[in-house]
Amino acid sequence: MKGIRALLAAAVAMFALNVGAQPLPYGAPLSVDDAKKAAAAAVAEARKNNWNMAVSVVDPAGNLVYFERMDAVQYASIAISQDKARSAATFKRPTKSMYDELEKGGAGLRFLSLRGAVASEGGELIVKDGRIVGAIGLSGGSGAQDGQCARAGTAAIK
Amino acid sequence: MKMRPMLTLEDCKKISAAAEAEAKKNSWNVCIAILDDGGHLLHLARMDGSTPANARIAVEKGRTAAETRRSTANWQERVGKRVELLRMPGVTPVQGGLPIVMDGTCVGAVGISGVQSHEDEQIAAAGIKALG
Repeated sequence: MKGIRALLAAAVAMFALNVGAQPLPYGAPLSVDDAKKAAAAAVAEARKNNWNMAVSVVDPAGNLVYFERMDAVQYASIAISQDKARSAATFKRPTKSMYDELEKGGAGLRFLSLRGAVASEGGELIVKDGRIVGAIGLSGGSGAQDGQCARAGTAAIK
Repeated sequence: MKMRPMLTLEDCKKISAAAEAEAKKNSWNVCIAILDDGGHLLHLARMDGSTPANARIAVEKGRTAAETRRSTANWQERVGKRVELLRMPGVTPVQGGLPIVMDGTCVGAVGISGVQSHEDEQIAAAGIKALG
């Protein structure tokens, strides 16, 4: 049972990362209660690791639904967390996939010039019943730390 | 050195929950924004049914109240008498933003958008009251 569940989780993760091939459709915007739940899980992950983060949750169009900032976060992270969330939602993909493209150089450099694209890890899609209902953006730590907290947030919404 | 109080995330959650309760009690859907004394966003909750514009406007009302240490109702009233105040940079002179004053020091502000302006302010006041 455990094996099957792990396999399923891996399949879901692969599907979620592979949005470039067949993007998921947009759904109705997530509720503020779901947004709070996602933010709480993300902040819990940050707190567990002694990281200070700002967290933004947006609707599919990138408009803010919920925001909170842990005490003592750098001011820049307020805007960056919103930009990452909006970028993930409007481009229908985690911002890490844009960073990965950028890192390859060549054609990947286009992500530097696309309007609204943030090629920095920490923006993740919130998916419910196979539809994009919003996105979460984290800022305050390293890219990898931001991404880890963002995924902890999205995992709280099913 | 002069020491000053500052809002914590826990304070913000308390304010936001009280404001949301006041809105719910009246069946109003609004966006609640809380900012620090420099106008930086600390907390925001957009209740189901409120619009993307409400999110932007709540932040701007809050920013005005925080940075000027005045309610946006005060700005609205003064703009009515002195129309040139509309040219003040970064000011949203629409009721619904209140500064949070602790021991005579402005520590931030609450901005509300979603219903009639005087109702927005009523929600902001209910939120601040929860701070004690």
